[in-house]
Amino acid sequence: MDREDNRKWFTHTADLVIEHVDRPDGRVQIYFLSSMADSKIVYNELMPKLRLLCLDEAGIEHVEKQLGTAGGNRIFRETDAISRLLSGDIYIHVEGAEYGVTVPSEDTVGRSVQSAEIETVVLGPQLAFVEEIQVNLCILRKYLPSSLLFHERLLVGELIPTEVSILYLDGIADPENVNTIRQRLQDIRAESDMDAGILAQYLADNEMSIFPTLQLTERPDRAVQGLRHGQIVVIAQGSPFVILGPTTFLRFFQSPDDYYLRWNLASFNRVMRIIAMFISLLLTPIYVATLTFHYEMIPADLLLSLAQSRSRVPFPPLWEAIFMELIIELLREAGARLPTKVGQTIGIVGGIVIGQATVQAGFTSNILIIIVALGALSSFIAPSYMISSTIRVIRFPMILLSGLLGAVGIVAGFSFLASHLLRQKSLGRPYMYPVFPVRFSDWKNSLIRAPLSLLPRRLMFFTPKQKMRFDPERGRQKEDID
Amino acid sequence: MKVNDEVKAGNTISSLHTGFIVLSTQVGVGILGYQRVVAKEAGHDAWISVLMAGIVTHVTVWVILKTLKRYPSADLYGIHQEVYGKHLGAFLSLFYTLYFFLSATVILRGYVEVVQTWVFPNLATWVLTAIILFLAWYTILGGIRVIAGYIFFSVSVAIWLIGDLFFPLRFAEWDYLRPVLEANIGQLLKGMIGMSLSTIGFEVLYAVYPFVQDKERLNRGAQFGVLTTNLIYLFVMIVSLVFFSQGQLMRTIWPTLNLKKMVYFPILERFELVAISIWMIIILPNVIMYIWSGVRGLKRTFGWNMRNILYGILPIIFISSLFLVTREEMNTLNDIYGQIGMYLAYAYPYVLYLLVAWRQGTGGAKEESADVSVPK
Amino acid sequence: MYRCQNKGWLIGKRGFTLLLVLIFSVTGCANRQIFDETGLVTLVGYDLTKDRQIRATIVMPSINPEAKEKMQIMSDVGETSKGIRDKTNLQSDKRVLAGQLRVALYGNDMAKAGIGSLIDTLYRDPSLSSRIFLCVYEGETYELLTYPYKSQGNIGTYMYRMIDQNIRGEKIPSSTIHEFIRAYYDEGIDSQMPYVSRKGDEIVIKGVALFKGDKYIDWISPNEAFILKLIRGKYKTGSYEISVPAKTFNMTPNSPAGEKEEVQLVFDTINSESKVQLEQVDPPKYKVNIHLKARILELTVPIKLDNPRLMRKMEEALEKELERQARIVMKKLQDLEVDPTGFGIVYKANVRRKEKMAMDEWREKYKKARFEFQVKATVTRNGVMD
Repeated sequence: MDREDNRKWFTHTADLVIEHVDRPDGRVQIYFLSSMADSKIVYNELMPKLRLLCLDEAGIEHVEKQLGTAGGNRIFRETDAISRLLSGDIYIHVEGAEYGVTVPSEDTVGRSVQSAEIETVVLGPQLAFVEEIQVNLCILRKYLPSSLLFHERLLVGELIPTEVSILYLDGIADPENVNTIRQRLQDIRAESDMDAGILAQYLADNEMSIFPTLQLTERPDRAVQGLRHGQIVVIAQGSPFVILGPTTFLRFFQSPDDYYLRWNLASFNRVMRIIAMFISLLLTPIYVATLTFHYEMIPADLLLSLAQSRSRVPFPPLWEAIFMELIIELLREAGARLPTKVGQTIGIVGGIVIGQATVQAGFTSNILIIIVALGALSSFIAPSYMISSTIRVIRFPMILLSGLLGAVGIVAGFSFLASHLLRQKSLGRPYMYPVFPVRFSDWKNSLIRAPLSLLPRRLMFFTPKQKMRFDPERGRQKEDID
Repeated sequence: MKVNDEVKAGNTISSLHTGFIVLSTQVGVGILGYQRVVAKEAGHDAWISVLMAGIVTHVTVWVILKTLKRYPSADLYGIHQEVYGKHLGAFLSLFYTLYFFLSATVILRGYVEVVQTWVFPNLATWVLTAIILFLAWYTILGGIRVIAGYIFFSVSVAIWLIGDLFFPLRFAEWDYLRPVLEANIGQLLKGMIGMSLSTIGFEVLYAVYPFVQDKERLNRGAQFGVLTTNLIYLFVMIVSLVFFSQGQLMRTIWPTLNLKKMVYFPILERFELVAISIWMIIILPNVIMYIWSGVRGLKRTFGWNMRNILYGILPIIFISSLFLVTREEMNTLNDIYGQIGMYLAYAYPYVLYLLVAWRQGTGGAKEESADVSVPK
Repeated sequence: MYRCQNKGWLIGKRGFTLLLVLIFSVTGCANRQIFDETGLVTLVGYDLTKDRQIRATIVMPSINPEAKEKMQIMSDVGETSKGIRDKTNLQSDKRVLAGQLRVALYGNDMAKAGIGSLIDTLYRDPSLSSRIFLCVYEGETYELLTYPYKSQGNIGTYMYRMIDQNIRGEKIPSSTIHEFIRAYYDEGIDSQMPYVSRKGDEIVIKGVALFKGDKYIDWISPNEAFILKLIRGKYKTGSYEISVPAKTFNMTPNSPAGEKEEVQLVFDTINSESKVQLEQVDPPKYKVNIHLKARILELTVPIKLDNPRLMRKMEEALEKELERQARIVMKKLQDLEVDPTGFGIVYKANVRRKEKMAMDEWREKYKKARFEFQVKATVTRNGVMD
């Protein structure tokens, strides 16, 4: 490879630096991207070392020996050299040599590890993944210091591929699932930014569905819990979220701190989240249906107060409800886009001012405000942002159905959701597991969270190779009372 | 067509789910109004008729499974082919298929009628019919496992409705049940026949059988389903008998809904409106299973694609359900359907069993039955 | 990535079209009965006019906060109840719907003329509850409903609460429309419902109206109604006032109450069970065993009840008095030829017959029936003082 040729690798790359080691023959050159690599290493370590080489020791093998680099850093092909340079390494070229040598030197730009902000927990680790894949891998390795943690690296995408890693625990994860994920990653033929969110859509079994069939998480502990149960983690360079799969519908209602709290509290929380899902899905539709069609269903005691609060509202309940729900959605979206502090202000403005004003202006009834607020609150209880967005959107067709056909409409919508969910698959595995196919033994670790000593099994859903986490007998041992 | 149908390993359902299928196909619109039909014949001893009908159902299911067990993995259509030969077998299969579609239509229309009477008097028939058929279509497209899942969902949502019978029980007049066995055996038998419209549904076993994973335990699953159905019917009947006076019961078209009218909660009154809406979830498994069984029949007999058959058959069911308008037409259809159902679900299995036993007993058909393939 | 073996779209193209079609079509199809656009009838009163027509008076809560009146009352005359409802629609700015109907009142004349078909119409309507309370008013319901009450507020809700509360407290028998229809179409029992009257500004439940078939015959006092329920029914929380001769306690009290011939006893939390046996078929002879547990709440002489002998005496007095009253009440009912307790049901339950018994046949038998009562009472003390 010639020096002039090498320059051609990058035609418009102002940050490519080519340093010549100060030698009479000038045959040794150092290439690096000043934006990526740490120039201190070049000037303070590499250059002095290389200068010490005798004149006759001008072969590449002498360079290697001097720098103490291993054979693995030999670069034979041009494209490899480019990709290493682009990932921040330093490339050392010796004229006339068969191969070049790289020296790792990454001057990573990126934020340092911070605490999780999307999926917060009260108890438990606060660490979150970051954009840098190496850091994320490092975090996972620290959590699971084991040779069982298998790691496969893939380049995904056309033209400018993204570095993607598949991680799983060997002997626990089902190889079939690993194959599925690997196959699907390899099959991606798209020129796209491979953020985890995008990747998850490419990987999903049914892209059309509104339900997420792969989990995204920024929490290493959640990823590790998944790994230990036999889930597979996919990390993409540049994304602070990792993909967990296969997964089930109920997994979206579980939070890592279910395991950090005592079992009864955790079970209560889990049940409450499911109830909250139903509340947020059904409460407004029930209001609309009752007031539009089934006025008979209102109990005597509620009749007058409901009638009075509705008496000044000029719209039918359906429009009233959609109007209020839209306000809530607008507030939510505005809050998400604005800086945190401004967002809070918007929340207050929206919550108090608009709420009060609409009631006083006679646009909505008091009771609807309560119902809508309760519904919104319930939708935010879901520990996964993905599922809570889904639920909030599904509410609109449900409200529409209830406004068209009353309770029959609600049931029809609900029925459709049931069918739809039952048809979904996550990496080819049934999404509604363990509700259907029914596996009661897993209910105690999905609908509720039983005491740890009663959970010797891994979740069967992930078809782990090793079914037991510990000997169930150990959980049962009890000392006699005195 | 092969007599035995090999099903993909991943596309099977367990025997317990088959029990749920039987349960949910048996319970449908019939349970809303069977009390009057039975009590018309058997008076306040109607519950004995229900009990008798239940026992007959158990035996019939047993015979159906006994017939099916003579094959490793056959369904009704395969058996028809083998027993009657190609043409007659296809004709009988077609007939049974039509019966399945008729069932779906009757049940669907029956439910729409209930909704029209109780909730939305002005609702056009086609709206609700279209919605239900759409849901059925969507579920059927998922395959038998999704259907089984939907049925499990349906049962677990609807089974709680039994609990509301506690409310009418507070008005119970237990003396209405006495004297026990006042009706003579003829009346009881007539009442039992009146039950048939309500308890048919287990004949879908004929179509589901190849998909059952643990066939050796199927009898337990199916009988469990039938038993649950029977207990539900019996319980509802007893509650109805003590809640209504006989004269009142004779004038009530949907006694079960009148029972639900007595339910009230501090935050909710008129529970029957809720129950009728939820009833859609109870109706759907019926419609789904019948359509699925029928479509399977057409597929097995004529080798057509199930998706395409669905596109053909759903509009037919849709349109034919629009033709039934008045209560009289519904009653006539229900009567005809009850008759056909009684013969096809209660009588035919015994005939078929004898025929199969005779076929397999003679002419060395035994080996043939294992993997006989009649050229199509 | 086109992995669509599982074509499950939530809002796909076809789903969207379907939704659109639905929106455009269904809006016109389903009956929208928007809550605040309807006039919710909570109470209806029926009277018979002089020319044998029906006058219906309906009461709707007035929702408008600006309105002075808390309720809207409308009245019209017609041949059928549904016809009247259509007429009243013309008087209202809102669609008059009866789905929230809770009480149906029948005027004295109306009730005497027979209300079977009226009630049957109500019962037949699926939009109505079957827990509507039925009541007989001693005069014209129009007059009752239009009277300007001071403190009752919305009279519809008021009457509903009044009847509901008293039925829960077991002061009067439950009289839902279901129970009326059940008795009406049964050949062994007659209906009963509360009998309401107005005393000045107050609405009072005066007693229980007895029906023969669908015709109102006479009414009995709450005490008599209590006995009726005791004879064939269960009490859980009833209460009852009874007077026994003072000499039962065999004492000469010093208090002024002692001067009286009789001692008033008030019992509450009465827990009773009865067993009716048909001892003889023709003429019917019944043996009624009543077991009764009660707490004594009040008595008008200051006797110490820690004496078990005295308690037993009181129990005996109570038993005797109840048996006596039961006989009186049954005599009265037999004279009226009404059977609100349902001895006919007991008769039917105990006699095997080929064909059904007609009501007239039962009435004949009922006249000749004989009754034997046996009350067993257990009284416990009440209160924290001896």
